[in-house]
Amino acid sequence: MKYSYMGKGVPRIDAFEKVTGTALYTGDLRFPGMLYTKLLKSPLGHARIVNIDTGEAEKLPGVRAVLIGKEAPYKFGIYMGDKTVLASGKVRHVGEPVAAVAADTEEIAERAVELIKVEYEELPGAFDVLKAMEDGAPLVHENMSEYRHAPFIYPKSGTNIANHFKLRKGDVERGFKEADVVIENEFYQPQVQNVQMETHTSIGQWLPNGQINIWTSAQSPFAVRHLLSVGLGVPLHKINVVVPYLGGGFGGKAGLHWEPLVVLLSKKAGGRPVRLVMTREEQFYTTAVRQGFYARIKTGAKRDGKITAGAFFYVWDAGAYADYGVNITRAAGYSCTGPYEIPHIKCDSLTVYTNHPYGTAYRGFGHPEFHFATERQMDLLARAIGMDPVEFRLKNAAVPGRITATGEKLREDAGRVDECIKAVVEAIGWGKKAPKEVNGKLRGKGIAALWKAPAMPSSTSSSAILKLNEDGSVTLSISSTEMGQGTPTGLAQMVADELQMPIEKVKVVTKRETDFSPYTWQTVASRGLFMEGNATLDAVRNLKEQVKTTAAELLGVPKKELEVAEERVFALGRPDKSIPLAKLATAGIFPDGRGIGGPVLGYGYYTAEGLTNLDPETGQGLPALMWTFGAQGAEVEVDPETGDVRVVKMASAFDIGRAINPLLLKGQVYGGIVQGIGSALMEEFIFDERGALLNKNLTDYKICRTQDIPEEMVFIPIENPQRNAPHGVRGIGEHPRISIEPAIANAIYDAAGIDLFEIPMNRERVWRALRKKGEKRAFA
Amino acid sequence: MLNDLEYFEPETISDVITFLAKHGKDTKLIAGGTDLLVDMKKGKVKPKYLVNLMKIPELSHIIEDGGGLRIGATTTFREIEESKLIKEKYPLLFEAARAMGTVQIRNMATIGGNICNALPSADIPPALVALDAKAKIVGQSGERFLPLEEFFVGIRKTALESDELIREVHVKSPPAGSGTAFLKIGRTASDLATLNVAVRVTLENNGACKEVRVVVGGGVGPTLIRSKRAETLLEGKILEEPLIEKTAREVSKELKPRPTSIRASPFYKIEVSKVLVKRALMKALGRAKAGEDR
Amino acid sequence: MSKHKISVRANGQLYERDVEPRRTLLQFIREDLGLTGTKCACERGDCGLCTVLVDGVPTKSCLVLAVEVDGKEITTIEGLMEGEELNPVQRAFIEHGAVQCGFCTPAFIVAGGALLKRNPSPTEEEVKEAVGGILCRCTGYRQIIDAILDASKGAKK
Repeated sequence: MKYSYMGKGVPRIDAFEKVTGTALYTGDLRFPGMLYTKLLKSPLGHARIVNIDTGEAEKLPGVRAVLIGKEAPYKFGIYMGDKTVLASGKVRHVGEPVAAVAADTEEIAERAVELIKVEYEELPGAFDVLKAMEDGAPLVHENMSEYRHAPFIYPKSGTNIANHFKLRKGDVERGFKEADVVIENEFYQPQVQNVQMETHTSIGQWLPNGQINIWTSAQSPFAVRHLLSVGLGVPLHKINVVVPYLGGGFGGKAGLHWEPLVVLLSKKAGGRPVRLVMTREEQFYTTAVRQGFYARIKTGAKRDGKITAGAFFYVWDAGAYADYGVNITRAAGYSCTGPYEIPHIKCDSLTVYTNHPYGTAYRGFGHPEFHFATERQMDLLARAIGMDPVEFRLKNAAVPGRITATGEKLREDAGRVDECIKAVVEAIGWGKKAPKEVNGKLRGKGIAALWKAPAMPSSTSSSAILKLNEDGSVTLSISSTEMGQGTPTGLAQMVADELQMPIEKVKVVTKRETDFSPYTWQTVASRGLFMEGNATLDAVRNLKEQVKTTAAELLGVPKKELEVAEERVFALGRPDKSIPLAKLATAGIFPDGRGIGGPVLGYGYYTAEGLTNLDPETGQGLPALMWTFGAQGAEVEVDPETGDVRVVKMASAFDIGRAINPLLLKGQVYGGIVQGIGSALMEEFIFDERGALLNKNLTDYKICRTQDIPEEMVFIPIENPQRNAPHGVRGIGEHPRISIEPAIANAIYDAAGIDLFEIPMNRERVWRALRKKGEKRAFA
Repeated sequence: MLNDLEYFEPETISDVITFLAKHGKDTKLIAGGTDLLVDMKKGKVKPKYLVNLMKIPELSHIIEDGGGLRIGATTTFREIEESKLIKEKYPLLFEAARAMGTVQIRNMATIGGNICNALPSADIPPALVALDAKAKIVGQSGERFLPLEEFFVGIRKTALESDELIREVHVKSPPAGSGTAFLKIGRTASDLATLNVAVRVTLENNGACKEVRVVVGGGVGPTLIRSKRAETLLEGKILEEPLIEKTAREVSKELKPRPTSIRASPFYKIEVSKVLVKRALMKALGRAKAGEDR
Repeated sequence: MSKHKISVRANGQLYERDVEPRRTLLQFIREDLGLTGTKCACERGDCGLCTVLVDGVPTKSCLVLAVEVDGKEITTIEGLMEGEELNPVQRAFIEHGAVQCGFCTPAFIVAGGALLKRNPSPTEEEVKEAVGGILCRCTGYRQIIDAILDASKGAKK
């Protein structure tokens, strides 16, 4: 084959625009008459809104619309329709918008916001997720039972529990009885933020004729359109959603966010376009964040290392709204064991409303949180039975043929967690002799494995359109957005290989626009290359079918003898019988001038195969389109006197099926590692006792900088192709940040002999643990 | 968003003084602006007049003079860290200047601006105090010198009158036999200090400690703290590890960190200050013995 | 409030504008000059995405007033191509996969290029320091650092 782009580090197709500053993001767009939005935000965590007086604000020259919650009673949500765009009746978290102003300039809008007077009556708040579950706790949503929700979500009315996911497999009590050792531990993670560099940005226009136009930094244009249509009760075809480049999403821009707000403001302002750019502060406490997490895990094992039973109790601090939280709870619930076979399992995973900022997806969709717990527990249990933690993991690894928590027997092509573990063991030199102390710092190594499947409805689908252009080039349209992950580049590689043409002749449309672009569910869940890939391959097949049909007539050769390559359709072994693709793009022409065929437009789709709903009582069923397995290893250095932890080396292996683009893959892995180090060591929301976030800026909420990255990052691709995947690929977007925290925590134990159960493992927390242990050299 | 304001760019110090005499209370001087603009955007500060000092040539210089150094108020941190003179003869200032912010911030921020902002977590003030630096202050009533430790009177509060500005910072050259060290911990490579420590040890020819400065910053009180206990305990003594450890413990008793800090608890700051002070003293002592600082 | 007439040379072109003193350089660049390659992501000097060169010096434009740069030369990402060719840093960013969502990319390229001008063969530590004021949430920085190091070798060739 002349062209082979698969497996090559092809530079990303959007690179030129991004290195020259010409790539346009939503906040770069300007429209005539555009208005600017500012928000009035609640200073209280839980309070009844007694009165809002917008009179003065409305009188300010240049103010074109002032909106309050009462005027926007619409409930939005993808899994749980619990959220209004402005607080209505009561506020549920500090930072929740209470009123919005659209004005000629940002400054006028800001001044108008200051003129709005709100009278609150403070209510007792639910600021502790475990207390929020108790009887008599203040209810965050009194009317939860009236909310629309997905059928696989199980709210408990009269409580703060927005979803209770249950999984029962085998007989967990019997399993514990069979065990030689049973241990139980609690783990905790705070709320954190995605910290996409681009804050949420939306421009909306609702014209008097009912047409709604939206430009937005959303991951999923079709989800925005659908959820907006349902929420507002507006016909779908009247809404057009445009998504330009996205300055990072990491799950935080999935579903619907502030699009309804700008649209409603526009309507009130007579149809002028209205823009909202979240400030960094608002990005922290007004918009969505990652849920907090509490886990209590009990596991038992035999002395020979076989795990007999696991009881997993997961509680998610959803914050004030749980639209996404309920599904994270579910996904973590059905994956609760991590990549191991456990015969007897009980899992309860609960989404709990609190008066904290509201939760949403953040790279890993609950998996980094629960893997911290399960992979720490694996080390602790291995230690309890006196077995090497690597050996212990391998013994229980969910390899092909073994049964998952939901009763799925892993197929032969499911991917190999054992190979990932072994690769990481090798890469970090696990078990090899190494100095325990370097320059007064303690060194240690730790390992953690992981798995994750896309969390999505069972019949999720994607589509692709591949246009043949008049010069023989092709243009691919898909609706998976480009937010840095590089899916469109991978798809361009696939198309070029399939059509055997230079990649320079394959264009992937970068803009997503629901009026023109083919449908896809969402750009989430590490599903893009798999699902859009299958849809794209289907579109290529369809395009080939169309050109062959016409070429067969023109060349007088049976269709099945025709092939497509090098921008031509040709008969196998008969070089004289060929026709350039360019001559088929609009229509074929017979020698006498008659036309045949028509413009070539390949269409393809893919619908997730074989997934089923899970049983409401036992959680049994098939939720996973693919499992991507992996393992991560850390080498750390601990300062025994200050508690400072430095990650020296991080190695990661994932069974990605097939590496389509090693260059972009490395980027996903390095980026995930460094994000994970951020939440492992420094990131956390710190609240005061009344629920106000104290570190809502990047001075006080730290993320990693260049000088905080490990000296060495190693990525080992494992390639066991998946049968039903395009070229065997599996998703990888989220996985590199899933098991960073437990790998580091396990390495800290190896280095300093301290067990950490709480994230972040910041200097003070480590130092306190060292002190508790009585580390002799902890000076003082 | 910034408030409405009038902006001026005087070219001489006397123009500034004249302006301040008239409008001092409604005026903010801007010298880099990396802190001031943040405060103004938050609406914490709403000056009517903004006077930019960056166009005044006589305010920006690093001059070796007699037994010390004169640093003009609008000298940037980057200019300080890149000065060969400072790197060679005042390594403590070099280390403290580099500890502040990131390169882009250091390109903009100035020593005068940093001092006048008087944040308890600032990095260069402890180093300056350890070198017995003085602020040269000018105003309508003439000029005066103030030891830098007296210049800081509280969180974001200085001894500057509304008609005054800092013209220069004077730093004494560390005497022969000196060694210095600056240590800082933050949560990441670039962070406001959770703790910082600047130390100068000056030894006699016989190896005894002639003079010592131990200055702790990073929100351990409303201002940085120059430890008098350390000076009492160490001066005149031969410095050895047990004495240094004892001193570090004593220094920690002088610290009063705010309980509200989100960076670390007071307990942690006090306990770990012992580690940092000890390490800094050991490092400075080593350097003094090796004759590394001059 | 009085406006000030300022004149700046941005990417080689002269601009004269009347600006309010409270207008930041970042607002001036993005809104008045329409150079939207420079991004705003925190407004308080933490993220560094607004980094531009003022007389060749990497500067966080959200913390500078437009009036302060009167008479100075500004360089933004839009002014870095060499004719119709990408400059070595831009090329290296593409080759090394140093770009993901792209939102921070302009700042890194501007600051990386300024470093190489001052210091044509920096060490890895010097590169990390020079761009340490810019945040990126996608890449984990590794490929960014490698790209700048590689462009420096390119500069030596």
